[in-house]
Amino acid sequence: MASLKEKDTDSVVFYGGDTTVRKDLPDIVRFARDYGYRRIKIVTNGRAFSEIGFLQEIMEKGCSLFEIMLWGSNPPLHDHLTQTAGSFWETIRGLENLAGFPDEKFVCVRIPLCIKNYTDLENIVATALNFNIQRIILSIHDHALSFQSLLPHIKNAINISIFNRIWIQTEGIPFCIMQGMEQHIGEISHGVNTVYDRTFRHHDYCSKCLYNELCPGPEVKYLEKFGAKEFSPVLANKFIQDIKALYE
Amino acid sequence: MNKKRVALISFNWANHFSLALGYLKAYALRDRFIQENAEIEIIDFDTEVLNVQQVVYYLSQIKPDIIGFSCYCWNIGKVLDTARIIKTVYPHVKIILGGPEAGPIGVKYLRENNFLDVVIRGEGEMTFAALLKYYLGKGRIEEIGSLSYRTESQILETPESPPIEDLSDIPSPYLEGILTPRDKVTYIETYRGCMFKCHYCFEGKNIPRLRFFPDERVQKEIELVLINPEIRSLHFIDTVFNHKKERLQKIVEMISGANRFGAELRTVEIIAEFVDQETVDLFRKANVRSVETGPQTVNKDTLKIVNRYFKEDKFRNGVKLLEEKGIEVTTDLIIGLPGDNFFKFLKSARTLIDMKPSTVVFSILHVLPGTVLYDKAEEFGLKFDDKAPHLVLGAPDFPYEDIDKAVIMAYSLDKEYNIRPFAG
Repeated sequence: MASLKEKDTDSVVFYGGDTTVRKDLPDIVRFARDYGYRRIKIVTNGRAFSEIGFLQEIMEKGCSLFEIMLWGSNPPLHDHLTQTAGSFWETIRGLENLAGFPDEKFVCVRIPLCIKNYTDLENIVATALNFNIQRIILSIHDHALSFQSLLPHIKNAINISIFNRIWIQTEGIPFCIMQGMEQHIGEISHGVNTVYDRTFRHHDYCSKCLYNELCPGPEVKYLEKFGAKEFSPVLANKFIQDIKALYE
Repeated sequence: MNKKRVALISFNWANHFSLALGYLKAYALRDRFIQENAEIEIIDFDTEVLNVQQVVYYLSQIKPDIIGFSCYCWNIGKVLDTARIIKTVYPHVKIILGGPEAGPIGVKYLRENNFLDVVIRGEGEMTFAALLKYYLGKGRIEEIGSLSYRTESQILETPESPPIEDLSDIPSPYLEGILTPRDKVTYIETYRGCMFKCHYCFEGKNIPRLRFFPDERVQKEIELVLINPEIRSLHFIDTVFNHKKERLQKIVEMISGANRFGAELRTVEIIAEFVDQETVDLFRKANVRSVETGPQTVNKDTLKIVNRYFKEDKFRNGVKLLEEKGIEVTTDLIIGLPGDNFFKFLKSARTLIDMKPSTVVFSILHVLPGTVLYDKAEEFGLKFDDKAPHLVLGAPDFPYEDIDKAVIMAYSLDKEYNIRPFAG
């Protein structure tokens, strides 16, 4: 953290496994705060925040930004995917506690998408919207899920979220799939090719696509399973130069 | 003869008071005839706390003969509700509107609201005093410049009056005892006009040059405000506080010489590009704690279209110098400017966030009456709500849905970037 701070950063994110299992997390947060980090974010399943005393301690030490993973809109689905009985209600209580906490905070709900939960996506988004959150991220978790099946649910999820005035974006979906919804592509927002440490591959069509240099393409395993039939090159976009400028 | 009762009313936010109404009263009371024949009361209503019924009740008790409202895009709704009820209950009361919301489109307001009598266009002091004299029985309304008014059969406009040439003609509302400085909400104005002519802003439009209040008077105002130990912070409302270094030096000397209790200057408007180390030192000497600056967009085409000055490198350097010395910088971006689109707006947001100012403020474009964007909206391809607060509804490359999404995204960015951690 000290070496990062020397690089003039003012934000730090703690993630990996689940950070809240560390007993010394409050001390680490305080350490970051003392180093002068203004924005300290924790990425977590949110279960530990069902204990309001722990949440209070974390916030008092200086953490104000939270990213909570929500896998399902109901206990059987969420608990099945987390492989932990009771985890749904703990996460929901964590979100409730965050929503009820009076101090300034930023709460983002990340919905990892897989073959087992994508049909529940609209319900998961609706569930997340109950907790006074500021952003939703839909991230691809499973290369066994076809974009063709997922796309209608993505469109619905975006409409539900925007209707409720909460910003929503995607991660890990090739840009050609997201045509007409480019505003919601997380990679474009951040000006990065990919936020994942995975192997992506451009297929033949990609070389003709306007997004070729920007989009990582689909995952290698995805192409192996589904082939390239869903993908088609984007040949025209009025705003392509402005989108490219976000990567400069 | 009984004096006529004149109520000058402003609906304000957060305990603020209206400096503009202070000027109107101070200028009007220079006139002996007005002094002898009118009792002018300034009433600042807190728009968050009071509803229209409470305001009407208050007015029913003081029974004014003439009411002047100070109108902005964010209070015009309450002004019109109050004026309509007052005129219905007390038809003899003359209702006058002025201020940036009503002035430029006075005829429209008169046409749409038959309970209004007069709208004052532009700078109000001289016109209001002349109108008051007319209502007190002296002069002819058609000879007063910069008015839109209703006769029995029609709505008329008189020709534009030139702005007040010499600002020393306007007595200081503070020095005259008309306004009492209060902590956090005291404004000092050292000049009028703006060196820039941005098309989304009405400041300085149609006024060819800056006009300054006399140094001696500014100094006296500063001393009056800063002699009060309860004033912990105050504002300068000059359009560009650092527009010229020589003048900045002079004002800073006045402030530092008078600032015996360490009052802070908050949210002064500056041009970040003009900031160098010397400016930062001057700001610190004046105890400036926070400044606000543009650039509204960083997109070159948009900047050109809206006639906004922006030099990215100098701006970035200015922000850096200020933040390094502990002066909080608030940078502003506008959503929906002509020339911008969703992705250009995102680029602006990312560029500013990269500069690490204390705060980035995102606002949606208000196509305000009196601005070039309002007057030439069609030419710019702008769609906007003609009802105040005149929110933009579309620009050539920024359709309504994208503006709406940009607003929602900006809200999320705002909460994330501008977070103030728990202070424990």
